[in-house]
Amino acid sequence: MIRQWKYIFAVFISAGIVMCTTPTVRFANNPPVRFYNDIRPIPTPQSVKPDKFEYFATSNTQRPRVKTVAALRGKEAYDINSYDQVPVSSWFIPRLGYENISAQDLINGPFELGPPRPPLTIIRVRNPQTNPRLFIYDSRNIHYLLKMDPPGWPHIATSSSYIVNRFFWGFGYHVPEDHLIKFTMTDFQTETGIDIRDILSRVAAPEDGFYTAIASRILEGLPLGPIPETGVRRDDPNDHFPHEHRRVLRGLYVFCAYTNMSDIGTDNTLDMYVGESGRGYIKHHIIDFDDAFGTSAARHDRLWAGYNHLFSIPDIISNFFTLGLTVEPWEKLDHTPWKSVGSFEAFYFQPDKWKETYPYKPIRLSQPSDRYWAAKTIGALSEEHIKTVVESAGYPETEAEKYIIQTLVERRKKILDTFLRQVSPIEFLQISNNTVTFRDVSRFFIPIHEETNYHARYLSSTNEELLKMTFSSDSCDFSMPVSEKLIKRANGYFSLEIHAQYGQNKMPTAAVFHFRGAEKAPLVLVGVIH
Amino acid sequence: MVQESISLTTADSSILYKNAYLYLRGLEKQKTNPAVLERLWFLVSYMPHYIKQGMQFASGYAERFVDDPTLFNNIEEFFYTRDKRFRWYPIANINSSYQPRIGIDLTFRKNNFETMLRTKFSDRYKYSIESRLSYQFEAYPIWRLSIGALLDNNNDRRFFGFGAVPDPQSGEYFLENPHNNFGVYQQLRRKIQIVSGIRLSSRWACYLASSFQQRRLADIPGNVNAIGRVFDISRLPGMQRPVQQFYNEIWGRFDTRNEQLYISPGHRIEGYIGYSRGFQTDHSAFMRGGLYYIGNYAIIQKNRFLTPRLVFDFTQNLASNPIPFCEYPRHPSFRGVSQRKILRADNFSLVPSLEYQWPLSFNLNGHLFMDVLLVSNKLTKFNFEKTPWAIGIGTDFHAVDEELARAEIAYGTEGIRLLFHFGFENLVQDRSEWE
Repeated sequence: MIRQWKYIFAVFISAGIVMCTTPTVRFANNPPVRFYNDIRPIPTPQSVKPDKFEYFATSNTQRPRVKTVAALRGKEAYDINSYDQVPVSSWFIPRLGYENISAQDLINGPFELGPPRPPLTIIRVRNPQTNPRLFIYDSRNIHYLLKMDPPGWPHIATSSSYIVNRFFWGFGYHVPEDHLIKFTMTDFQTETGIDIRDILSRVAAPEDGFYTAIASRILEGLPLGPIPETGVRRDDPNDHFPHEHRRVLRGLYVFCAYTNMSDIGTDNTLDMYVGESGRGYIKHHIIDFDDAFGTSAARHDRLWAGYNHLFSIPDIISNFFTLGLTVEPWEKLDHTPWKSVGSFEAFYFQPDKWKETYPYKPIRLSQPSDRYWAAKTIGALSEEHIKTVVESAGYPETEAEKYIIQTLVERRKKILDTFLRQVSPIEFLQISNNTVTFRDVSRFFIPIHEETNYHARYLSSTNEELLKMTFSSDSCDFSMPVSEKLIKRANGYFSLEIHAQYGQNKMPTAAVFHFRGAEKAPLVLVGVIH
Repeated sequence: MVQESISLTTADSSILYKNAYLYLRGLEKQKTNPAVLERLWFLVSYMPHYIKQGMQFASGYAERFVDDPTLFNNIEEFFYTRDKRFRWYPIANINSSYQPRIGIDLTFRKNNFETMLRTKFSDRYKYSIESRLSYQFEAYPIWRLSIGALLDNNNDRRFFGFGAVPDPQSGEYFLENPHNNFGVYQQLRRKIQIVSGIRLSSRWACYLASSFQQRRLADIPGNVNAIGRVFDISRLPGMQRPVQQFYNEIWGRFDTRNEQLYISPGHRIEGYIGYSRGFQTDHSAFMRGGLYYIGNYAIIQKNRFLTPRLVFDFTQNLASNPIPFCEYPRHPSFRGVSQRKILRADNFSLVPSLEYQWPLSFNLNGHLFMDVLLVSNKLTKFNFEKTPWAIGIGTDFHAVDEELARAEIAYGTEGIRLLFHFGFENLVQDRSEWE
């Protein structure tokens, strides 16, 4: 027995030695990839209906074994470029924070063909008895889905869905073209045989004779089912990165926490095969924002939505042994006074403790760098953006509208305070004459009154410390010189670690910038790690 | 020379999968984690980490199994077939020191009619079959009429004697130097019943039940604890001839709770009175009555409850013949022993309980309880001395709108009792349901 332990011990020691001697990260001398061409033609894939029972079976057995190897490679997202950014792809288009998106741009959002034009023809009704949804064609023969509010809850789903659709477009996701519309029964063709009066008796009552709905233009292409939560689509040769390791999906943590879209899961995603059959590609969408702003939480008295998973064995065990004596802050929550507003607040909201109703693997695997990436985008969502979009959402009560704006502003601040402080929030701006300029995005988005210090280390490619300094800056932008002597000493490759410290609070990790330079050649940034 | 953070460069998805990450990330070499301690910690924490993560994900999806409308439709289609007219579900009842019982419940509905068949089985001496035909108006006042029949056979019933503290040396019905302090007997129970219930509103309900029940109680000579080795069964009321009773009961309930199955604040008061008369060779006649009170008082938070409960039952003999021992008040609300044990038998019975209930999850509650069982032959002579008590902890799981499962562990004067029950119970039970 003792001999066996010796062997085990020896394996651990050997592994440690091997790991110690493995080289550190080194970036190639290439510019960052800004466009990842994953829209190459592929054969028409099969539509997939995910088997949730299979998921349940594999989540406990197969996946942990497979992940043994994957986890050893590190948990960094796979779909990022050398500048720690997500490039343009069939998943993502950088908008807020990358382009100049005005408030009006955000309101227009995914606008292409506009709202449906009457007369409207109903072709199918989904959930006619409970939550009616109408598939319609408009006078231009364009296909839409009409989604209304439940009885007694005017605007709770439509207004929030409209706002969050625009936000998610701004965050860079592919979303359907949703329009907030008003209609009457006379807008429908009557010869379809569907009793529209009966259907509309099961939705929120009309205001001034008009019903409110979200008209969601049916996405172009062939629907292939939800985006698989994990792994890649085997029938998509363009899909190289396991979805749970895609930052674009991991970042949903922050975006969904911000909008309290606790229902996020595979059901809120949709793959579409776009283009001619056999020559198209798969485009990945986030859909169905009805449950944002805690809509269903309010309707079903689930005030815990966003604060707890629906069911969690660790929580059950913990609650069992603590006898429920510990009171979570959210348990003091109550409904808002307006039926148009869901369970949505900013006082008890703790961004890093936010939980989606059903555990969603990419969210659960998200890393501080993923959340930092997403938080930067939230930072680019200005108060003007928020105010303009919410004011166009047609809330029936002015106070409710103000409450939503205020809550979104306060939640934004909490998001930035939390997720920009999980890494050192330093971004590269430019290099000019061997002087590198950086920006502290935390200070850029939120004025900080506490003393800020930056601890910088210049390291060679073999991790030898070349120079060390600590400094403070009055501005969120600051510059750091790089001497030719240092570049020469580093043999043309070095990294610059910058560790931010706000007051006594030193950030958990440093931002690391990798540079290449040579005599009489310009200094070039080749890689960024947050 | 200025390098800015904007440039346009394209990478192609045709890059081989294994290189895609390196290419896109712009890495020259595979990134590795330089911290060996971090590595070792990862290896050490690997199993706990994934056990925790596995539990988290499995629990999420297990709950989804219950809550997801699509999945639930699938389950409904599994349990409810033929346009939801036919329903079936399994029953499991595990009680420590007793054989487990498993069974099945089959229900067929058409229009306002419903027919049900329920079976439970342990072995060839322990089984029960129950059937019922009902008709119900759905709108308030909800009115329901049902006719049912039951056949129940068991050979593991236990009787401990009469009085607050049954004394085997007392001589009363006990043999001299009895083998044990309780006797095991066999009971074959047959019952037909007609129930007419009315629910006037969500708060008020009442019903009238009439039944004929026959209990054939018998000794089990082969059993070391047979009742004939403990009691003088030639004198013990109920053992000489079949207990055959016509029983009528009227029952009423007032309930202020908003949710009657989930825990919610409010009070529930129930009262009943019944008359039982022997038939043919059974010359007994008695009256029974009772009052139940359950209060749910929110403490700490609106979803943590302190629940005091008081269950009072009495029996009044109306004939010169003694009441069969199996017809004295039972104590299903006392959780220290199985209902298959008649731990105490006397004219008056009181079970005070205090329970604390708190949520464990969305539709899972925990409860911590203490029950006491008091019996007396006079209303004014309840005595706490040597009274059975039990403290325990448990969980109950609600699916849709009914309690689906319950697990409990109790400790007290009668030792440790473990209970696991799966399956729906009858919502309306009169005292003829006392096993």
